Amino acid sequence: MIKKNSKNVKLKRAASTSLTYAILIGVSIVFLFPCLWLILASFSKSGSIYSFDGFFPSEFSFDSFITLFTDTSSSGYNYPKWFLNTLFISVMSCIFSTLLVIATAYTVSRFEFKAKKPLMKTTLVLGMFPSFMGMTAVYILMTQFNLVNSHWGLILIYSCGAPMGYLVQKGFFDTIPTSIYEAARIDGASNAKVFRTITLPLSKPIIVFTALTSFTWPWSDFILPKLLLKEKDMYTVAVGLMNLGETEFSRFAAGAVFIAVPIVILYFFLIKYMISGMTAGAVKE
Amino acid sequence: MAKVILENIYKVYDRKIKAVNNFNLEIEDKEFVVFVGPSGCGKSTTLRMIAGLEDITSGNIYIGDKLVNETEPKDRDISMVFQNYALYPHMTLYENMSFGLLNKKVPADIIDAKIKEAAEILGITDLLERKPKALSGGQRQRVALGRAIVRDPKVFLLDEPLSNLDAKLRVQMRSEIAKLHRKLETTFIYVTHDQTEAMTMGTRIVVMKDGFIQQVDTPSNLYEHPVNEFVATFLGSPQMNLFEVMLIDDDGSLYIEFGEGGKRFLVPDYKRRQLVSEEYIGQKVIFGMRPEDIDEDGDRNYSINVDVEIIEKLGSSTLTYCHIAGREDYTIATFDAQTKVRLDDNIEMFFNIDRMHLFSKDDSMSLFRVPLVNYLNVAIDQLPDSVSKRSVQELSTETLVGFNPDKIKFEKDDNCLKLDYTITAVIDHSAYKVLYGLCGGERLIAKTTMDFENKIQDVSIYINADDISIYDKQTLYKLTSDKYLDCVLHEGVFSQVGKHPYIIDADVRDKKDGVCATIQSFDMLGDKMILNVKLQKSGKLLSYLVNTDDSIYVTMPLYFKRIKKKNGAVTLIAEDNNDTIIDGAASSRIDDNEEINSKVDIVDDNTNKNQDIVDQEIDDIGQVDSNL
Amino acid sequence: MSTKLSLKSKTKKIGNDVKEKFSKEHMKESFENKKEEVAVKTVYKRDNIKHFFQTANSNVFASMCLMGLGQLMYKQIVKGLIYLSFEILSIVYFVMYGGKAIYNFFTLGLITGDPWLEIAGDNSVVMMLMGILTWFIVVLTIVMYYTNIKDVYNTQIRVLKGGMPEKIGESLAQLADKKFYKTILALPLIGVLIFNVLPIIFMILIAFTDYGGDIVPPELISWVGLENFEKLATLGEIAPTFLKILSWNLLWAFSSTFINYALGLGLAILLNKKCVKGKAIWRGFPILAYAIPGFITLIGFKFMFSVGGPINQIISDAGGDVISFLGIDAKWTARAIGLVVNAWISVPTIMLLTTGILSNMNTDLYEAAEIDGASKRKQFFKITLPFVIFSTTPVLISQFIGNFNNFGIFYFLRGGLTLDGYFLASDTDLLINWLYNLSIDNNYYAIGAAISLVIFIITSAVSLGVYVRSDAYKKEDTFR
Repeated sequence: MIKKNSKNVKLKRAASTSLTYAILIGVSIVFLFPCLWLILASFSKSGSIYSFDGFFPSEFSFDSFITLFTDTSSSGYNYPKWFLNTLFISVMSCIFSTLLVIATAYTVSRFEFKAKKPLMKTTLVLGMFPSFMGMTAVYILMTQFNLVNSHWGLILIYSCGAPMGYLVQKGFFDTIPTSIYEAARIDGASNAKVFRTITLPLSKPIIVFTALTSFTWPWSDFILPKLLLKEKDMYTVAVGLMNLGETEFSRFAAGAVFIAVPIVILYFFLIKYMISGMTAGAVKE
Repeated sequence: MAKVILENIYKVYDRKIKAVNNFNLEIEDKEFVVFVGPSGCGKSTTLRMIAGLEDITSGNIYIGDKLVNETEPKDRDISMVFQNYALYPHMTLYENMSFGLLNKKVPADIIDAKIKEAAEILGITDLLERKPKALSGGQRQRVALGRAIVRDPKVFLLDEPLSNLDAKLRVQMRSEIAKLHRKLETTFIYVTHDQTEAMTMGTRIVVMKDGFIQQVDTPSNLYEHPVNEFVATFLGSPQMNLFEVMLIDDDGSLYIEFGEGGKRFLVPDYKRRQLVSEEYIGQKVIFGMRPEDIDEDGDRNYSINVDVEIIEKLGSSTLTYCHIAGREDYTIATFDAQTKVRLDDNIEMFFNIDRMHLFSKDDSMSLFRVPLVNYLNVAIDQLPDSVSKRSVQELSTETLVGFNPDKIKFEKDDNCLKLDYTITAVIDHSAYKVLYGLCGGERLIAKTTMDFENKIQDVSIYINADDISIYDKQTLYKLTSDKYLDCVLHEGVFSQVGKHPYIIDADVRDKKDGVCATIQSFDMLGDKMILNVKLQKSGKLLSYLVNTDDSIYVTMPLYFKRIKKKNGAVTLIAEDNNDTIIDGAASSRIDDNEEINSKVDIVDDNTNKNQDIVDQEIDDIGQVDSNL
Repeated sequence: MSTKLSLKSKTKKIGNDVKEKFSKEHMKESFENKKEEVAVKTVYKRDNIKHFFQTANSNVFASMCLMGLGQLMYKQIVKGLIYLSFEILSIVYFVMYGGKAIYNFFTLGLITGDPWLEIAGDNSVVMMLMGILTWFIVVLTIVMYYTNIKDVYNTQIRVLKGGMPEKIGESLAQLADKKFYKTILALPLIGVLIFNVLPIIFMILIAFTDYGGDIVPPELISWVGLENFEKLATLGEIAPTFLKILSWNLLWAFSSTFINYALGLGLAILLNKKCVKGKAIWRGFPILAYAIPGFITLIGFKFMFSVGGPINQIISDAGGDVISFLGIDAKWTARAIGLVVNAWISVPTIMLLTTGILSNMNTDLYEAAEIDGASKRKQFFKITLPFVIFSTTPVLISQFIGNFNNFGIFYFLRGGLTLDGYFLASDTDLLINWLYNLSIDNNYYAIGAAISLVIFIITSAVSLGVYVRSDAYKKEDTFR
């Protein structure tokens, strides 16, 4: 009797395990495939999608990559410049955004003041407005400040909007027990010193998370740059690639791969921080 | 000198939640004081106020004679050990302990020496380079202690430091902290909710409940002589048994009766003499007996028949949970480990009547407690002069005099009331003795550190005039003010009518920028209040008798109104007040030949009315506010 | 010897000696209690208006008339000058620009520009913007005024208690330490105000004008009240479109959130199973999808499903007809593809998130359940699911809002298509896509703004409703 049961149980387990693996393999293929397709597409000799043999290029070459960087004269195309533009904007907004968000989140987490609750409720409500709503207004504002078609305009908007998303960082700072701050206070540290010597060292994960997300966001944002940037030479990669049609599919793929690769690598290296960052804001005990 | 004094401390949240109420305590240097009580009783809040981590709503805290209300924690010369250790996770132990000293700019070599010394005492020298993560709970706690020690504070504050440790470690750390206290010879203030910790560690214990201090005393006194039911049941495990009984006087003997016509225990005479008042006789009261004071054998007169329902063998003793007919709850008795009592036995329980407790049914106060005030009828001419000076009323020939049992002295002194006192019983409370007796036929209880033999004796007692209060016989309102006894009591008129709160007093000559005084504290005397104010400029302290006013608060600023003398009577500004008014003669502590108009200060800069003074008829002396 | 007042005593008949003592004790106790009560009740400074006006001194009133004057009177030179200069600046501003700006705000311009006649007209939009900015300044001024008075009053109280007015050095030190939060929050606050709050207010106001279509600068815009909303609800072209898109939008939001969450959670649980080896590798694939910037994926999928794309190639090679997945007639196919692609993009995020949470779970619960005889299915529904949902309610809400307002998905997959029966939109467009078409491509700003408002009301109502009911909110009061 027992033997039979254990055999049954073992069979059941084996079945379940194989099923699990089967699903996992299926899922992985689903996720991998489009990426693979794009990568392969970027190596296609012909630029157009029509020349493909189903999903795969009929001929392979590095041509797309080469033209990606060399063809700056044809209308509406200047990939190297786009790349540098996007890099510049990302780095700058990364720096400013991180500074502003961390400062805001820390302050709201640690200090008690009369305006705190109303402030938090207001930001929550404000965050519910579709981001689109302000676009026209932002555009006009930028015109007034002469920041249309300027990278600094974008940087400004990204950085100033960042503190609105302080909740995640605040969630992280909330996990530092108050008693540590009290002990520091008794030990005679001023608030500034406490931030420097105690909070910052403990906040590495969240700072990395914030820096990473604020760095990668401008790379994929297309709404704002499309709105504000008028000249081809000022475009970011996102805007530029958007305009490519089916005939230049492999070029699109090449451009896409070129920027996706560093970002993906960054994410993989820092995935630990990404998860801790996401869960910091979301998890409730 | 590291004495800690807490004076009238209040902590109120949002004007409603009173976390700490009127906390008064004087902690001597080198004492180990424990604040104990159930969760939410205010003990941690009080500790944090001493540390400076919470603001004081009202009251004063002195650390070593320095008023520290507004001082930052780092300047108060204190150290704190937190319940969850609060170690800086990213620093090594060495850095943790040196952090505070570095902030104070102490030279590195001194820091090093101090840390090494503390580590030596706590046995953590080889752990100094580790980070908190790598340590066990007990080790972390030691580091927290070490961090506190290196600061060389005047007072150590410990907030439930052992709550996060397992039972065995707790017992070990308890003795270590006690040893530490002896070695460092500094004041320790310790907060816990565990009564065992409190009883074993403290030299004095403060029992708190709902923000109020219940009793402050040595552990043994708290155990033997609890002042109310809460203290009695809070300390001691298992809890004291409580029975509802009737106090009956039958033919001159006092009995406690369990239920109507039920079993009676005779109350011994010496116990009867210790009753705080005889009026409880004939009333229902609560009779308390601790489990360890109930035995398997004893005096037949004090036994009750019970059924044993549950037995718990602890190894060192046996707890028996028994059922007494007519009582719902279990009666618990602690018997020896070798007891022959078994489950479902029917046995006799013997009560050790010497260890009985009695509590009032309405307010749960112990009937054997030392009362706060002794009330006596005393002839007025016996009282020293200064007493009547503090009184607001004419003292009739028979005045009810009250004083604290602590304040009774046995040596002749100036300015004292002398009474003859017949001592009938002396009870030893180890730190002090409580004397029961009669004075002029009335019961009088005294508390003293002097030595007295437990026999009937006659002595003379002396009470300093400053310690005497006078009460109205009928209404029992206190008629004398407590504080600022070296001030003269002025009559004053307090009014909120119009723009500013003001007091009318011809005497005051302070003038400074529109404000003259702030209210330091106030006393209720029946329907009236005594305001104790401090003059801004001179710092002089004065006391005023005024009508009770809800708007009065401590630190309130006060102004003084100009008055004018007319026809020998003082006239005052009146808008439309019908306050009690001063009689002319009274307020002229002013010399007659002084000009008042220009002298008295006012401070009513903002009034639109010009400074004209409206004459007002003064009411008769003795006419009082119709509100009364 | 001072004469004493005699109290009119309340005569109480009290019985014999014993009872007298009894009531004495009682009186004493309740007496003490009453004292406590009064003491506590009055321990607070009452800060209501009446009290303030009663006690404020001349310096305070000076500051009420002219900002900074009170501070100067207390010899706080620097502070006083700062407030004073602020007052002067604001007066100058209002006289020179502010007043006009407010006037312009209400009229939105009176002179139409005419390039032929070279009349530079009023630009209504700019006027509105500057108007809003001026309102901000008005609010700022009021706030400064209030802090100015509060400051002097506090100084007054301070002096009263025997202290000295705060010197500038002290104030600065305060800002660096105790009031540190003020210093830090100032900059982000300004940034957010200008770039987030201002645009939102602007758009809300635009919803009440007729800005759009032909009426754009240099034409003058005017206030039209609720006309736009009426149009949404009733006007021939717009209303039906609005309703159709709204219903699709809601359907989309709910289904996509549900699908993403279910799949993400499922994946996380799958990966969490004990029998899975090499978890990190399996996780890598979804992370790959997560890391790639969104627009790339979307454009990629567009190409994939396009008529000339790989999928259709395979189909046609196999002899079938080319299917227009995303074409004009492909209503439900396109919608389905949208859901699939969106899942592809969003599931990794959910998976990562819930993985973290699942690892926080208390495994004891599962063991207890197993002993109780609960099947795996039951365990999931009764234990895992409630816990995860509780822990991630805010994420659920933000996912919902995000999906509701997911501009990119249909913009790229099927952008620019306009169908009959729809006013400037297609049958897969979400409200936000319609918004884009209206505003940016066709200049129907006012209607667009009105739609935005509607979107906002819906999303905020839903999220607040869910959030407030959720356990997460009930148990915490500060979003932790």
